[in-house]
Order: sequence, then structure tokens, then C-alpha cells
Amino acid sequence: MTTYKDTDLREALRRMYADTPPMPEYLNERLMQRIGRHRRHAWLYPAIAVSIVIALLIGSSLFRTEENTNVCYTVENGQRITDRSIVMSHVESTLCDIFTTDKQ
Amino acid sequence: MNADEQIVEAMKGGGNMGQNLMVSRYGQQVFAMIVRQVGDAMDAEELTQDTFLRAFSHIANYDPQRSSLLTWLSCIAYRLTLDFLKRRRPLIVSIEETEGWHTDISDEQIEAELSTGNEERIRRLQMLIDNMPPDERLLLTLYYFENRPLDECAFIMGSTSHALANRLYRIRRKLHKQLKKK
Repeated sequence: MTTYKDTDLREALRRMYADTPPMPEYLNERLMQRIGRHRRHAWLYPAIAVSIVIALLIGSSLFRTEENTNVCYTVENGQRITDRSIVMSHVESTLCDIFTTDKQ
Repeated sequence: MNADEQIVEAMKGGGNMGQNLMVSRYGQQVFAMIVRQVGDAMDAEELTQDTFLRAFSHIANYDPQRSSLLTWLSCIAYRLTLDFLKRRRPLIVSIEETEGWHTDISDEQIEAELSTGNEERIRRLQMLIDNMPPDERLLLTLYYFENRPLDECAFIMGSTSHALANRLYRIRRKLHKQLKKK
């Protein structure tokens, strides 16, 4: 491609940018400080991720426990007896059967 | 091993040596490129730091076969600067883009119009350049002021040499028309 002379344009740009300030001396130092800050905080994101995973695990196990909490009750001498116990779902039905049988 | 390779090797080795080398070698040029576009030294400092931080974290993406380290840094600086300028003021739509594509004026005519040596014209050109959209202004700066070849400008601006040649023609034609207006 031809290189355009366009001398007026070149001169206009040269004048516009004649007083471009130099890069400040402290810029490199500040940059290194920012890198240091980035490194210091590098542990933060993995730590947050691990905390979220742990919280989810605890939450899901509590939810499962709640699901498996069985409330069996029967009436004995006109008084309602509640048996709140944590059992597996298949055990739950068995226990209820037992109570029902006792009642009969 | 050339200077760019030394810097990249030092950076891959870890530690701050490579980073210090990169900033001391190219910091001034990157800063100058940014400050010419944004006009404010404080903003340019921030953007220069952002440019180098991004370069440090993406050094694995640098391909010495495609560009020099300075061109690659300029490409990062260009994108960050353009984003910054778009946030600071809404992007001005180039008048030329709304006019469509015409090739009614030859390169020679434009070149003659932009090479008069007339003092008043140079001052008018300064004003016109100052009011240009940032990407057009940057293209003029890279091509005319920094004397970069068009393929390097294309790499920096994420375009092709052909597209930039057309763009340059349209900018020059726009300046020619505006100079003709009294």
C-alpha cells in the first residue's frame, strides 16, 4: 500500500502530541503493588467456593434428615403419644404397622 | 534470543523480573499511546496499569510469530482505552459512515489537499482530529504519528489491512471535504 505523505495531517498530529507527558517513575512501583494485592487476595475466591460447597453439603444433609423424620403416634388411654424418631423411610412404615397392631 | 523472547522467558520463569523488564522496556510507549487518546495523565496511568496487568495474566496467549510484544501490548491498550472512552462519552458516529461509500475523489486530490503546508489548514486539522471518534483518531495516530505499517495497525485494532485502508481513505476524504468548507 502507498504511504500517504499528507504532510499537513502529520504536522497537525505532531503539534497535538508534542507535549505528551512522560510515564511517571512511580508507575512501575504501583503496578507491582497492585500485583501484590492481587496475589494476597488470590486465596479469597477458592475459600469462598469451598465455603459454599460445604454450606450446600450441610444444607442438603439436613434436608434429607428432615425428610426421614417420622412422626408416629397412637392414642393410649385417651392420651396422644407421639414418637418422633429419625428412621429410614422403609423402617417408618414398619413402625407404624407395629403401633397399629398394638392398638388393635 | 531477542529482547521480547527474553521478557517472555523471564515471565514464564515466575517472579517479578519479567514483569519489571516488560514495564521498563515498553511502559513509556504504552503510556504515551494511551495518554494521546484519553488526554488525561491520571486516567492514562490507570489504563497503563490495567494493560500490563492483563498482559501479565494472559502472557500464555502471546504468539511471537504473529506480532511483536509492543504490538500485542498496544492491542490490549487499544481495547481498554476504547472501552474507557465509550464509558466516558457516548460513541460518536462518524459522519462518513452515514454517507455511504463514494470514491469520487482520488487519492492524489486528497493528498494534495492535505499537504499544503498552510498554517491555518494545520490548525483546522488539529481541531478536526480533536473532534474525531476515538478509533478514527487512533488510526491516524498509529499510521501518521507513530509510522506503524497498516498490517500492524490492523492487528492492534482487530481489523484487516484492507478494511483499514478503506477506513483511512474515508477519513482522509472526510477531512478533505471539511477543509474545503469555508
